Amino acid sequence: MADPEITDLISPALDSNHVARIGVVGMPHPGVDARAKAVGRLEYITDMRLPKMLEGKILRSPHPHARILNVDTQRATRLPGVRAVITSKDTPRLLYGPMIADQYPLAVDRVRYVGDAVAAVAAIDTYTATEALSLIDVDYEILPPVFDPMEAILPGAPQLHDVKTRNIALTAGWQRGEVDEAFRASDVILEQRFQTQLVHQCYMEPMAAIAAWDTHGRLTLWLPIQVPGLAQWNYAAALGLAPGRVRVVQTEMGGAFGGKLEHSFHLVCALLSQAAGLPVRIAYTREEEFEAGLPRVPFVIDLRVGAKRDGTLMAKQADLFADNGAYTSYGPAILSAAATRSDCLYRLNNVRTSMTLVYTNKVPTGCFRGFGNLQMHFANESMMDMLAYELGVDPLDFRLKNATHAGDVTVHGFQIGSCGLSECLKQAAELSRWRETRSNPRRLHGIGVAAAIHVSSNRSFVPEFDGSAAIIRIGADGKATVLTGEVDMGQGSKTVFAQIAAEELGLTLNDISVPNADTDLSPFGLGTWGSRATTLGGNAVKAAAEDARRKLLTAATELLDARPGTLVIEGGFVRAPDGARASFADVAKHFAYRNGGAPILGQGHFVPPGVVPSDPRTKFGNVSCAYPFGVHVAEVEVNIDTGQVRVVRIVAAHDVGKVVNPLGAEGQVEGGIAQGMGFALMEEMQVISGKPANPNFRDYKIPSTMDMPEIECSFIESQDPHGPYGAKGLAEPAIIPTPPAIANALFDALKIRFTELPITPQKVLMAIQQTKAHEASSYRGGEASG
Amino acid sequence: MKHTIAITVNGTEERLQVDARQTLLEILREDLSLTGTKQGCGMGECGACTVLVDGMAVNACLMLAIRCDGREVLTIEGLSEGEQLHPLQQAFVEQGAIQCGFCTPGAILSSKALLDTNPSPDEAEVRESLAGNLCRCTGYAKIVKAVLSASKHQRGIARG
Amino acid sequence: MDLEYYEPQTLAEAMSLLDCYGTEALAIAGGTDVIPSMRSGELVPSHLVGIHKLRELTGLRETPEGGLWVGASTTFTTLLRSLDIHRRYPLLAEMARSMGTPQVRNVATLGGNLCNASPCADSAPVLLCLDAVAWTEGPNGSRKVPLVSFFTGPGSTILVRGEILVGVELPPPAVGTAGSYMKVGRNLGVDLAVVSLAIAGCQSEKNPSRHCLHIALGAVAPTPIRANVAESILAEEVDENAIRAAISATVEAISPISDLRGTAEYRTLVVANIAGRAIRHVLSLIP
Repeated sequence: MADPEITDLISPALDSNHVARIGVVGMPHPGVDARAKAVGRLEYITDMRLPKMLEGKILRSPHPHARILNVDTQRATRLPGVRAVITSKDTPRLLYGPMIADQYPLAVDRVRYVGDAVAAVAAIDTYTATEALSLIDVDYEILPPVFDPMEAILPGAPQLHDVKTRNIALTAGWQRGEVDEAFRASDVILEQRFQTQLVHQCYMEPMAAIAAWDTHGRLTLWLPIQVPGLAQWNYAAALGLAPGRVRVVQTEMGGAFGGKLEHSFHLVCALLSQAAGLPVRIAYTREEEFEAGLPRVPFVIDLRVGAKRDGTLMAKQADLFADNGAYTSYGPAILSAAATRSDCLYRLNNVRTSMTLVYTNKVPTGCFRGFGNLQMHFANESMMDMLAYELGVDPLDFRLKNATHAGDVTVHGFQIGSCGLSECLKQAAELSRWRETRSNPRRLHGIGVAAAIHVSSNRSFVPEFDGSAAIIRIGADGKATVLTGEVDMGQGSKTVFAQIAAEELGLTLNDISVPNADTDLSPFGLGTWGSRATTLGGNAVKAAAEDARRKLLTAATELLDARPGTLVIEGGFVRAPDGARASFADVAKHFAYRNGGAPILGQGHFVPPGVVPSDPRTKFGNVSCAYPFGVHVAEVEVNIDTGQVRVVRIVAAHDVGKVVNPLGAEGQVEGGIAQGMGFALMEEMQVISGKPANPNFRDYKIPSTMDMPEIECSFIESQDPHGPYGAKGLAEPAIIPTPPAIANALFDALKIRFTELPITPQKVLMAIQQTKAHEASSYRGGEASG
Repeated sequence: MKHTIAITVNGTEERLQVDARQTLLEILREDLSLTGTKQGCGMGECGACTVLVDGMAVNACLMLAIRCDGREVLTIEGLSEGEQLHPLQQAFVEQGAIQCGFCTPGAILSSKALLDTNPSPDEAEVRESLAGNLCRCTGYAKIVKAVLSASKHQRGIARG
Repeated sequence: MDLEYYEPQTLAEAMSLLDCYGTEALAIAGGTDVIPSMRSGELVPSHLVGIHKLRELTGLRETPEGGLWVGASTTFTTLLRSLDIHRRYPLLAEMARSMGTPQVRNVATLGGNLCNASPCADSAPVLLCLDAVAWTEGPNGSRKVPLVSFFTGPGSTILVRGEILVGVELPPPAVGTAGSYMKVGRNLGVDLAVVSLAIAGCQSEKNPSRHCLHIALGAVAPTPIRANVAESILAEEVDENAIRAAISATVEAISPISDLRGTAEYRTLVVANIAGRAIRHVLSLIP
């Protein structure tokens, strides 16, 4: 029986973990570093200055495909102010690549895209370094290039890599269920080719790297990077160093969206610094971003889908061709995600898929929010609408009928622990006044819907494991430091981690700090990609906080000489039943004095249960422990004179399991919608004869304040059993439904199906024109035939 | 050839030796270590380098340093008074308008230029004034809200 | 690469510097075109002559005839904030507002925009349809050149070595002038013009039952142009047939290229569409 004094003291908010929860998780927070950013005091990598640091520049190939006959660096080396000039001769000449090792950091005998790195200069300032580049003489023998992946796989096309035939970096195919039978049983079968384009992440902070070697030959890299742990692992081997000889310090990041994972120019920076014997920074210009970044993988997707008249989805055949560019970045994983994930949005059991990753003489393509799943959803969700239209059913009802549910095991083996897809569809329908709008069609106005499924991390991404670990240190000042290897690139993971730590420790966010990752100090982290930080990182932080709490209570029990199990934590204090209390600082100091100065360290980790890497052959496997869902409804208006499309309104309903930070979650959706709109309507890196034709913001248009629609956001909390407090990922689901929702809305408005992105005003107007001409000629034909 | 310029930055008069080719952005960041103003594109398209010159929002990357002789420049560092945030900074923080923060200084200064000449803008006017400040993270929704909120706050204070 | 910068105190000094250094020198006012072009390597001057403070280029005033004189160093922000321009030349204010971003408008000058002579120059179509006249000062003296003759090709004007554009003069606005300005970009935000169209119209002075429409276009020919044939059609008649004929004539007048902002075909289609709408709109506004 409880001591009456204890029950008086225990507040109703207390739980069995002995902490008074102040409800931080679920409360809006502007971001733990927002203030620093608002006053311009947050230092990004180009704001930093290391003593004696030099500025580096990279000489890039002007040709899409050529043999390097000779590189003469003499004139550059002699330029006053130049401290080092390197070519491949000054490197270990080791092939590198995050997935397939097919690239030298500095080209050895061949260049394979306009922008390929050939040499690098370190000098006292960027002006001198740039001038030195113009003094490097390179003799090229031009080779015939190939730019279109569909041409590159044909016999006779120029071969980019001798070890790969037909320019195929990888190809695979699989089948599940009874595909042919299911097609035969279908009442309606539709076929369509879809195409998506080369787009750039356009984070506002261009890429940069700082490298420095210590006197023992150990390398430190300061990088605005999403994967400091993976970089540390892989760069040592790439540079011919023993493991552990590389330290990566993650700098504050001005956006990334997938574009700041591993990049070979980090290695060039390291090699340049080694040659110069001084720290070197290489900072990209905006033009260089377009020339030598890692833009989104373009796809050609051939879809064939069958359904029954009652609206049941029966079968799907998909053939995917992905443009790898000249070298392999994350293409293999992106292609696999594209080839499987969207199949799991609906209860579809019969699929046959082939996927092919093709080399072309263009900039290497890589990771960008959505990771192949965005491109495939454009195709898939457009096709769902085409089917619905063919069947004469409401596209939203069509989706409801076939939607995946919690408890399903999908065709690829995804175990759906929680699923708010149907709720999202219904919520989006209600908020957008779907039925009312559709029954009152207006000229040149359309409404469209699209749904999406994504992952919270992906076990297939890194072969060795998936999971996260965290350490929480309670210092003598009573404040907590959260050490994690997962990265905040501006999306707010630091704040989420601080909220979770605060929740479990009964502290306020002011008492918690979350420093950036430093591979010498932080637990190893796989990094931020795959919308994994909240679910995996958050779970690890929660476990670490629980461990820290237990240790704190144990130390406090001793300090307060209390009966074990009777202490409670409230508002930064530990309270005993008799009223005695100690601050976190008191407890931490007591612990330190008793243990030789040791801090209270909580350790925790999370290994997602039940996940496996997908089978390399069959692609079957439950790759994530939690699958988020989302639905967007878009309303558009078309200008019949110019073809310009105005997105009037987007309603977004997202099943995130649990909203940890409502302000942050809304921000993710609003930003994702902007990027989705850009992808759908205006963005395209135009490459002409291999040369980037619009490598700047004047000619590569991204959405501005004037382009944005009204956005209404709604969150469904399906309480995933594996997420911290039920939370699943949101970053990528935020963008995925937008492009197909817009395409579907345009179909509603114009009865024209756009299958190639971006849907520019020009494409719209020309299509309207063509439709008018076609209608006119049919009409005349009709007349003529009497 | 070096030119000497006298330029007042955040209320402090500075004397600098500048090259003809140096931009205001370069001298702010490198000579004066005021790195709050960012370089996003170098071409006057993204607005990350927006500062106020004699009260006008300009792209510092397009302004030759030598042009700033005798002029007053306000950067993000000059906006807050000690620990006291300017209402715009406060509003950006409160409304959740800051994600990666790279576009933030430029956006705040463009907004200050707007509110200094138009203390009660409507949403369309806010959007137009920020048309030259690109953001890739936020979709602008909360940035617009922040400016409208700050304008209300400032008007409230003005009324006393 | 060394760069010299001068800020001459007099127009004569400025002209002399430009004449002396010739192709190695560039006049610079706001710099919003020059600086990006230098950064991209398109322009490599070794001498920059800052002319924006010259007295002769400064000012915004009513002319004795009741027109408007705009100094070449007038910024777009000044144009859009001028009450006089809002009242008497609203088309000019509307154009100024749609040019660039606020940051660029605060610094970019009308003179710079004209002398850069891009085929899609924002200020040109409106000035052309308002019958602007360019005032220049050069080694051979002063000139007044109708703007229709000012542009000679993409990026080139009639300015000779050492010559400077000091301002443009607009004739007095006709009573009851109605106007339409449309700038079509690739998205709804700030963009270079893919097509731009300016129409100013009023009752004909000579014959009140007739109309006088000036139609100018940008980004659809090597220079900004007037659609003269279309104008003369509408000077005679404004019934539906005439309007259709004028639209066709406008389309005939353009010679767009295909570039990364749009194909010739698209531009032609847009011109046909917006010309029709704009002509009808302006006609409906003329009393």
